[in-house]
Amino acid sequence: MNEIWNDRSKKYQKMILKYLRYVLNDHLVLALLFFVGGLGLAYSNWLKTLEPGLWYLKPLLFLVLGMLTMVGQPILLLEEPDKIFLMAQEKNIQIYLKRSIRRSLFSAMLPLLVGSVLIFPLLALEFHNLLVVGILIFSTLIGLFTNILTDYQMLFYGKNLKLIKQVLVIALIGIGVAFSPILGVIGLIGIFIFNLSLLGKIFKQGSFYWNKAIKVESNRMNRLYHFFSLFTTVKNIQPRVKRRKYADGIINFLSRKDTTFTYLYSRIIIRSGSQGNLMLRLLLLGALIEGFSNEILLKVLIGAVTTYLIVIQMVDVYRPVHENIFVRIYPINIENQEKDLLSVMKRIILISAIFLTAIGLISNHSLEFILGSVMAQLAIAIVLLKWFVPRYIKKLKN
Amino acid sequence: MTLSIEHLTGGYTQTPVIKDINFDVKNGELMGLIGLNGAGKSTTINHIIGLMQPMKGKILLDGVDLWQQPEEYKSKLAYIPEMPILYDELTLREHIELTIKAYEMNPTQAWKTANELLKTFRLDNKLDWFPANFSKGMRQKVMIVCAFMTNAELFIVDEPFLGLDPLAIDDLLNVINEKKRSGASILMSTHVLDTAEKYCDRFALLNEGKLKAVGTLNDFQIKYQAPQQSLNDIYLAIAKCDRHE
Repeated sequence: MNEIWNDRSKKYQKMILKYLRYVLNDHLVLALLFFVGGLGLAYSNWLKTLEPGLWYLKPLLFLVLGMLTMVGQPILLLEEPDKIFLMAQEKNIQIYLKRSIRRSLFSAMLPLLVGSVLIFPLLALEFHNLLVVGILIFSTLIGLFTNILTDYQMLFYGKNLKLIKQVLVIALIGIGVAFSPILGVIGLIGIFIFNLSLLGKIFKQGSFYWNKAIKVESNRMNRLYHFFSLFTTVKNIQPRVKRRKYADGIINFLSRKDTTFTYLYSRIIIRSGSQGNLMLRLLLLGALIEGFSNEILLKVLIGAVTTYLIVIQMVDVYRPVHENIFVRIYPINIENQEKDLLSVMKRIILISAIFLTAIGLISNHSLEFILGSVMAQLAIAIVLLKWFVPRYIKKLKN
Repeated sequence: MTLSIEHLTGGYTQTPVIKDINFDVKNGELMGLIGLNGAGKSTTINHIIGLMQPMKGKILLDGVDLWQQPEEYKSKLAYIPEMPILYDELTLREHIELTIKAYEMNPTQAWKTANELLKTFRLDNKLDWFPANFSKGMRQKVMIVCAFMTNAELFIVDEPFLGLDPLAIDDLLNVINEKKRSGASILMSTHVLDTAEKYCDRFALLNEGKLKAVGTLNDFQIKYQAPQQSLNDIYLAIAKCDRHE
C-alpha cells in the first residue's frame, strides 16, 4: 500500500505541476495579481478606518477563524477501479490512509496560512497581544486538523458524529475569541487527541466504505479540475449545465444579431457550468470594489480589468461551437463564426461596463469617475475586440 | 434529387482510405452503404457531408458541386451521425430552433413537422430537457427528428440501428419510407445486413476502401452466381475472398 501511495502521490504532484504551468503562464495571472492588489488596497484602506473596540470585530474574527477550521479535506487519491482491485488489500488500508492523512494535514496548512496573514491585523487590533493572537491561530490549526480527522472517520461504516464534532470545534473557537483563548485551545487539544485515538480504533476494527471514499475523492478532483478549467482545457471535467431561466433576458440581448452562431454562443456562455458562474463571480467581485471604494483611479482600473477578465474567459465559447461538426454540415457560412463571436463579446463588454459604472456611481457620483470609467472601458474594449479576440481565434484555428 | 459520386479517392493522411469510388443515389431511393468495420463507410460519408476534402474525384448533388457551391449543396442535405452529437447547453426545443435557423425554414411549418416527428419518437413531452437527461437512444432520436424535420433532399444516415430499440427502428424506417415517397434520396450505412436487405432498394458494397459492387440483391445473385443467397451470404463471400487474396 505504501508503494501505491508513493506512485499516486508522484502522479498527482506531476498533474498539479502540469496544470500550474498553464495557470502561471497565462497573462491572466498578471491581471489577477492586479485584481488581488486592488482588493488588498481596498482592504488596507478599510483597516485604516477601524478603531479598537468596535462591536463587530469579535463576531467577525469568530466567523473567519471558524471558517478557516473547515478549509481542509482528505486527499485520498483513490480511483473508481480501486473498489475492485484493492478490495483484497482492505486489511492494509490504514497504511495507505495514514500517508494520506499526513498529506491532507500538510496541504490544509497553506490556506490557513494565507487566511491567518489576512486576518492578523484584525486580531492584533482586537487583542493587542502577540501571544493571544498566536494561541488563537494555533487553536484554529488544531480545529482544522480535528475536522480533517473527522472526515477520515466518515470513510468507514458506522455512526459518525461529524456535525456534533464540527459544532464543538466552532464553539471552542468561539470560547477562545470571546472569553479565554487558553480555555479554547485546551478544549481543542482535548478533542483532537480524542479524535486521533478514535481514528486509530476505527482503523483496527472498522470496515472501509469504498464507494463513499471514492465519491469523496472524485468530488474533490472535480473541484480541482474545475479550478484548472478556468485557465486551460481539462480533459476530465464533467460539464454541469444549468438552465438559468432568469438569465433568458441576457441571452436575448447577447443574440440580438439573430444568427445561428450568436444563438449558440449566448446559450453556451450563460448556461455552461464554468463560464456562466465565472462571469457572475467576476461581476460580483468587481461590483464589490466599485461599490465600496472611494478611490476613482482604483475603481476605473478595476472596472476595466474586470471586463478584460470576463471577456478573456468567455471567448473560449468559440471552441465548443467550432468543434461540433454540425456547424460545418449546416448550410451556413462558417466565416460568420468569427464575426458573430465579436458581436457577442461586444455585448458582454457593454453589460460589464454599464453594470460596473452604475455600481461605482453609488459611492462616487462625480463626472471624473464617469468619464474615467467610460474611457477605460472603451480602451479595453478596443484592445479586446481588435487585438485579443482575433488573435485568440487565430491561435485556436492553428 | 440525385447524388453522384465520381472517382472519389480520399482519406485522412496522404494514404488514401477509399479508392476510386463511383456510385449514385437516385430520386426516391434508399441506398445501403454496406461494409465491415474499417471498410471505408464512414470515410465515404465524411466526404459526402463535406467534413473531408477529396484527393481526387467529384461529389455532386443534382449537378451542384460540394466544393464549388458549399452552401447550396449543404442546404439540400441532412445528416444523422452514428454517435449523437448535441450541444450540452441547448434543450431539445432549442436544438429544433437551431435547425430551423440553420436551414432557414419557415418556423410555423417546420414546427408542425417537428411536432409530428417528436410525437412519433415519443419525445413530445421532453422539449425542455437537456441532452444530459437523455439516454443514448433518446439522443439518437433527437438527431433523427432534427434531420427529418428539414426539407433536405438527401439524407445521410450513419449506422442507425445501433442504440435504437426495435420500436424506434420501425418508426425510423417508416419516416424514411415517407421521405422516399416525397422524392428524397437516402444513403444509409450499416452492417446490419438482414435489415438492410429488407428495406434498401439498392446497395453499394465496400470492402477495404474499394467499391466491390453496386446494385440490387437480384443483380448480386446473378453477378456472383448465387441464386437464393442472402445479402449477408454474398457480402461475407466477397469479404472472405478478398482476405485470402
